[in-house]
Amino acid sequence: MDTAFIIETIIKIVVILLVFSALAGFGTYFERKVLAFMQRRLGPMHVGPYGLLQIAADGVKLFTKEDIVPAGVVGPIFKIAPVITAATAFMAAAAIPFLPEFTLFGYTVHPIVADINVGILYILGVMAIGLYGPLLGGMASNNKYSLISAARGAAVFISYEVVTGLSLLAPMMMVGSLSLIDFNNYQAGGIGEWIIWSQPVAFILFWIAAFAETGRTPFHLIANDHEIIDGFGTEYSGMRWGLFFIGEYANMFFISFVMAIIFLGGFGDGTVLGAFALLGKVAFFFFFFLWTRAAWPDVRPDQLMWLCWKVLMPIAVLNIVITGIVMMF
Amino acid sequence: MKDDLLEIQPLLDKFETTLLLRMMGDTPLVSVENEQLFTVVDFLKNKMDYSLLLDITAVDNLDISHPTSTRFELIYLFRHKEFSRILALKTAVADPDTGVESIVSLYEVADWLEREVWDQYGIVFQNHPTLKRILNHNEFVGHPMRKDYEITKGQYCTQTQDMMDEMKPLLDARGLEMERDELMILNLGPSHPASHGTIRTLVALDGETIRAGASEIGYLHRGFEKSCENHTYNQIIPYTDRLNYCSALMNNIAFAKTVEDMMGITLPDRGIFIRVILTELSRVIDHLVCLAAGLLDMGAQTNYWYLFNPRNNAYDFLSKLTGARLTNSYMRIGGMTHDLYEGWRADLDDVLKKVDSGIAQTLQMIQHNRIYNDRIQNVSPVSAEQAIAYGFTGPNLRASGVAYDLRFDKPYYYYDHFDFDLVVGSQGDTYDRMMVRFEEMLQSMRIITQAADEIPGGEINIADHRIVMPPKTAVYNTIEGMMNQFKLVYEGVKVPKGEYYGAFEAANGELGFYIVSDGSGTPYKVKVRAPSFVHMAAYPKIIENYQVADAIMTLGSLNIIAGEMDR
Amino acid sequence: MSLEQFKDRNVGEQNYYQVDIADYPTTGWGKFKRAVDRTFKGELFVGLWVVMREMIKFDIHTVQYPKEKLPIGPRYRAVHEMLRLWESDTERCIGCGLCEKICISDCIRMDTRYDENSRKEVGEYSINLGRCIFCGYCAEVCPELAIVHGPRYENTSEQRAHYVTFEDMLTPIDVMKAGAQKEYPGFGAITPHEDERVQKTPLAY
Repeated sequence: MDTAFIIETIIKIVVILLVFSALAGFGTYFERKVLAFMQRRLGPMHVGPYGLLQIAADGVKLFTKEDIVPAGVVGPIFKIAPVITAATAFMAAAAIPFLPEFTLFGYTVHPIVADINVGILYILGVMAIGLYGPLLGGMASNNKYSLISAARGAAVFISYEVVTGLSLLAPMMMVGSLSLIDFNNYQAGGIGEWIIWSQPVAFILFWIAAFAETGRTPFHLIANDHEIIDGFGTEYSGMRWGLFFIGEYANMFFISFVMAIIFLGGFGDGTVLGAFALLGKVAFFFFFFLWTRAAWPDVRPDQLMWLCWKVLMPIAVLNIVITGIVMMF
Repeated sequence: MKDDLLEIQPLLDKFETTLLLRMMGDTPLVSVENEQLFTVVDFLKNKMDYSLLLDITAVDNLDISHPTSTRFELIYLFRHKEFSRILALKTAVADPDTGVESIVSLYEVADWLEREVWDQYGIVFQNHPTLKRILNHNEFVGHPMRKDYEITKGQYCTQTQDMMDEMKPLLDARGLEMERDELMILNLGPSHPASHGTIRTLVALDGETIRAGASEIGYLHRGFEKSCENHTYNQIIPYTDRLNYCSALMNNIAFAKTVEDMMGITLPDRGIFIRVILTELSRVIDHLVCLAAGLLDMGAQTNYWYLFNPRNNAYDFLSKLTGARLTNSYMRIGGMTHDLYEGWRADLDDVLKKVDSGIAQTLQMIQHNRIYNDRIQNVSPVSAEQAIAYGFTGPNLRASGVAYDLRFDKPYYYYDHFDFDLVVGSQGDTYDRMMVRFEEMLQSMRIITQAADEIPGGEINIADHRIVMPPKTAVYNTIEGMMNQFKLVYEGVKVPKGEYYGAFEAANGELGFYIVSDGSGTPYKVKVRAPSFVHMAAYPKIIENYQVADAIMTLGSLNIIAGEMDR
Repeated sequence: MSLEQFKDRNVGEQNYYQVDIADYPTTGWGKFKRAVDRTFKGELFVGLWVVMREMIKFDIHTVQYPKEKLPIGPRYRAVHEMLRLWESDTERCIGCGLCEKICISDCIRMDTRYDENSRKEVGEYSINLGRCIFCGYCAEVCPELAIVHGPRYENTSEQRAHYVTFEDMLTPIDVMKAGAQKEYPGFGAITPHEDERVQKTPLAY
């Protein structure tokens, strides 16, 4: 293990952390603006030109707010829960290739922190651990609404892990590998080679499960403002809550990357155009998350469970069986 | 008169001690003995089909000018099964501490109505399941509506009640125990983003299903009825603005109409048409609030904006017309303050166009949306019989399939002349309650267009200047005008002695005012029959065995406005 | 769900509009059919399209207060104003006390006395804006059209009881000299065609 590799990895980690934390902030800004335009209002306008400095203002607020730890909470668990959410979100980014590999001053840079051969399995596994954040945070807060939200969160996250796993099994069978770089190379032949054409059902299933995993409308019942106030985040203030928030938005971005790479061809053949295409696809998925938040109401928790176990899982299994049969002939 | 006597003749024949005191307009007022009250009410409900209990209230005769047999008298108001007839029962309460028999076993709505009478007047109801205070704080001492309780005497109460005294009997009745069945007690409100106004509901949860619920209200109780006894009739109009604050003009009109009916005056046609236009416009904006808030509770944030934007235009129109957006105080006894302004028709048409497009966009987004349908269909259905037992009126009752609308059953203000439909649901679930409101808005807009097309010219106020303020030039130039002005300001509009119950089809249901007058310019008693109060009484019962998410949607669909509920 | 039960009540000839009720399927087969039907109908996308259309139209409703302010109508009831007579530039208020008597929230106080010519003069006059509900009754009953409502709706104060005195409300003399005093057309104003409604005595001349 030569030092150049270690230094390169450390630089990549730092870059990813900084870029995606900032992007989470930008994500909130875009959300507020897009939602506002869809609702015929303006969103943040006063702080900075067109409200762009709102992100900085929010960041300063979160950092400097008084850190209130209510009496009666289970101290250590209460404090560690937000860290779990944020940490697992970023840990999952270790196996995602963000850009095609490029050469910089004669040195090839692979913009993926660890090109392990169990890429997608690692990502799904680490994102699954992210469920402990809301669960522990909700249970440790001395608050019944947080408890309800933690229970809902645990049920939803675990159930939809099944759907994500099963729906990705079919493309995996076709590609024959778990590494995201291999997924990308499988589709390198241009737009006609994208997996979405050969696995549309898996795409839809994974997309629906992505909504549930990130907790976005219409499956936004874990921190649903109207019923359970802020869910597991009710008792959190300042940067602790900020960590939950960063975790949620980082999750959204990373899932968009995963979807773009697995189903929509990733960065294609590795040119600059491909890189921009990848960023465009991620931007489309992110915009779609915001779009549905404006348009659709929320689903009830038991209806969400019904959807997972009685609709999506059988379809996923059926998809795998059909893919297997087709692949045999 | 003969027909009314004919209709209550079976009652007078069966019980010798009942006798017809007088007629309050079309309503017979029958007096009944204390001890016979329960049997008479039983007879009324089961044999004479008076199936809807409207209101129970009491009068404290301490300061009244004519002699009465006892200090307290209880008034019961019933509506017949066919909805066009009302009967009022009056009973003299000999001793408030022994009181009368409770009629909860006959009408479920009597539960909260009797609690309010106990709270305000101190009359005990025997065999009532939970005779507790409802509008005032549980630590309050005294009975505020009694005439010897001074209005300036306030009390400082601090402790919250944990309401387990209401919850325990409910759980025992269902055979549930806290520990064994692992129930969790949760407070929905009073400070909750989805409880409209400050309403507190204590629920016992089993997982996410509600097993039992109990409500506590009174957080917005401002003493409207006590304030009415110190102000003249015209001075009460701004107070009525603040009852149902989502449709303020409708309360003004309901109150003014009740007093005018009591005095036997009718407005000129132009005044009536203006009142019809403003009533229907208020109905539209009230339903917009209910639907927007209900959709917001579901998570559909955009529909909230699409429905509130036309409301802003309506408020601009009202502000140009009356001088204020919400607290209009536009009506007076005998008419209104001034006429419509130049160019009102163009503004009104613009408002209607925007409301129409807002409703169309919202319906496009939600009507066939499976998420919306799954969320609110089959949630808390209320059957027609249950709805009448609970005392529902208005859109909530029509959603259950009962075709009761005062504008059709007892038309006033030329409603029988306009062409519009009665909107009826079938299941009485949350979906029906919300869709009925969407359709009613469209029907109201039809009425507004017809009325605005046909509005006649002429006067808007009656010509009698003992009731209506004289024109300013008359006040300045003639002595009669000056005298009328001063008498009206100092003494108020003199209403003849007696009592009267006036009902009005408000946006939420039947808004009734029961007014007792002693002949002077200030009323002796005013009781508001608030539809939201009655609907809230049924809420803990209809959310049982549904989930927390459903309970939030049901609360939104019932359109509980705290200002009207708590007065 | 038939309407027959509603039709035999003698309540007139109106039409009934039944709220659209899609059938609620109760059997398992019915539910399965509904689920399949909903999967292939793109009804959810209608909602997406409506919202996107609004975003493209960009018809913003926001009024960026305080840089832009909504116009208010002439009848708007905000902080009161005291008017002067056109003929002599003196204040119109005669100290009759009707506004104090009618005030619903009991927020007007005045102090009057007889001056050297035995005419009524108003000494102190104040309105407690913290209590005032801006109902317009004082303007309606004033026989001299002295107290009216003005358009000043932006009042902030550091305490709940915020008093405006007579001098704050009175039209400044330079405004008067320039002929710029505006009459209030809202509550209490002289209505159009009012002279025809004044009933004159038979000996009017």
